[in-house]
Amino acid sequence: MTPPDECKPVQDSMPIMKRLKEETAAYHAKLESLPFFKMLMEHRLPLECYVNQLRALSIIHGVLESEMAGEKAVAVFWDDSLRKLPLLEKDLAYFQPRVLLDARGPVAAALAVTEKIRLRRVEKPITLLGCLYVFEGSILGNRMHQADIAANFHLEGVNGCRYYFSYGDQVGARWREFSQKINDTLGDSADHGDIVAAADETFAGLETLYRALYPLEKSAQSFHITRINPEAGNHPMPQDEREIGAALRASAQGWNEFGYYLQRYGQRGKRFSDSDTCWLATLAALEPAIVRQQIDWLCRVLASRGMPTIMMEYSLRFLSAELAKVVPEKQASYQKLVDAADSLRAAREKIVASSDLQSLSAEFDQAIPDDMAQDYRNTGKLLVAAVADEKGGIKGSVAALQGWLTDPQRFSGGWIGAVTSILQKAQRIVAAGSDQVSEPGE
Amino acid sequence: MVDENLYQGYLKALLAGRRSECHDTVTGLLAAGIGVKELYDRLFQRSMYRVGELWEENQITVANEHLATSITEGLLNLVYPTIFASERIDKKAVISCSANEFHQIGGKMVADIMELNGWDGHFLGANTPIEALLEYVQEIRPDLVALSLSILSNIGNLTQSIDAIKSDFPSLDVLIGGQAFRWGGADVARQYAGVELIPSLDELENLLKKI
Repeated sequence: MTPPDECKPVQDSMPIMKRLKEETAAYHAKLESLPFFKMLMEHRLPLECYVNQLRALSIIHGVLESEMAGEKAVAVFWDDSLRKLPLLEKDLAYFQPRVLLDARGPVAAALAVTEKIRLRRVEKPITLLGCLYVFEGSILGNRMHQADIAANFHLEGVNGCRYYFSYGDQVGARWREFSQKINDTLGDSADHGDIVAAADETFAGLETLYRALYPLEKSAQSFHITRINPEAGNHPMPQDEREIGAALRASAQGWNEFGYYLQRYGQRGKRFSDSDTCWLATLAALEPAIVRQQIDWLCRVLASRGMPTIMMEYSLRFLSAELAKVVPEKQASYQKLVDAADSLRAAREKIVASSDLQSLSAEFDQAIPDDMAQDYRNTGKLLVAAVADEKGGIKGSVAALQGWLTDPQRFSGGWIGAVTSILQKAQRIVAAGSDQVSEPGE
Repeated sequence: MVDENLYQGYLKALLAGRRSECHDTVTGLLAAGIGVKELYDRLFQRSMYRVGELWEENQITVANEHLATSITEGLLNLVYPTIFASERIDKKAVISCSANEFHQIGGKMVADIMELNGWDGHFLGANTPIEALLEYVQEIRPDLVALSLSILSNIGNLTQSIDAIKSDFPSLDVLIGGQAFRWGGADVARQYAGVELIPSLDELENLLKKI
């Protein structure tokens, strides 16, 4: 963490950058003086402190980058080449073979920073630039520390320190480009003060984080869900590595079963699938009634976001099987997950018979172009299941799926016709079933 | 005092993040003499439950939810002058959220209702590790402990906290409550002697008056 202008002075005609530099200079100096950086420069920083730093930064970057990428008010300042999360993930993967537990203090500090980032996006999104300024500026200081990290942990090349080597040889040029864009676009905007305040707030959050990173409170360590998905926030996850591995394998199987998920939600969605599946694994320890309540809740949350309940059915079965393979002594507990999957299926079959689901799904596969069949495997089942979810009381289930799958900018007319046709047929079947149920005497 | 129009207007402002409008609504109600419990029950609790439902239905983002939480937490401070003016009755309670429980508005409201009824409410906040809770109970020696649970899947942490309290302080009464119990978990209270589920602020106040 060094003042961002060390590489090359920013032009004096760039008022917001100058103001940011001047008004946050004390924070730069304060951060650099913290024991974490002192130990790093003396090559005495424990590995768990460094890795927990990477984890904490992945939480912050995960949220900041997601908020920046999704916010129109800052779209002009953002492009994917600014993302650091992929670099942090590679660094963390490098250290993955050694099990280093998550320290709660740094995780809590990182989550506090992300909380403020999220609030900023809702209240005044332009101030996200103050947060971005801090992290873009830190890249300059990181470069100076890269050699310390390599020496401290005996790293070769950029292995394990890709984040610290962000932008490679272009770090100075990228900083100048960033500065130019901020100044040119913001001019003498009335938002300068709020952007500086956001930078101050981010520095304050980082101070808390780096104080928590060294010395680490070892007694508070355990696996935290943000190691699976930096954006997962706070929720339970298994503390047994075997169960964690099983949950990740089950998530991959579920993801593989329905091609639509990867197409729509990408790798970020996969991370949420991973963290959700870890959470599902913890439910096996609860009473069956609570397991069902929790799963019903998650089904509602997911179905209204375009993920019909049938996906949960599959996930629970995959998960139970994977868990039982690696922790067979807890098979009875894991059976609760299968029972919950059975309940979900029974609820769906009350609305749409399995035979109808299968036949409509097959009809859909016949109707869509061949080159789409693999990428969108089993999408027909999802469509029918969404209709059942809607009928079962989950409002917006169909719209959440249909809106994306019939977007003409994404799909051909033939595809959209097939989606629409299957939905209509499923809705007719559901309506006919309802009529039968409501007929007197039945 | 909190009629439907006022509630809907407040909810709209809360969801839009209009802090000052929410602030004005609450100060207006306080100036008109609204009771703290009514304010908590009919405005804060109702609106935050609705915020949770709207997030669940994908009608608002997690950021909207966090903003509503942030605004509500700030508004709770407006009530403190009323709360601290209450006559003390020399009773103490420790109020806490269990480990990994990060939603603390409910716990804060419970602490405030206790203060309003003359108790000293020691609120330990969100995500309190069991060891810290036990240490604090040892130090304060309260008349009861209240544990708040917002996320039902954290119920395992709640029962661990109860187990630990009952192991170290067998005669200490424990109250449990929170949004999580809207969906289940009521059996937990029946598994222990001296543990009671309090489903509403009304019932909390009734209980406090009996102690």
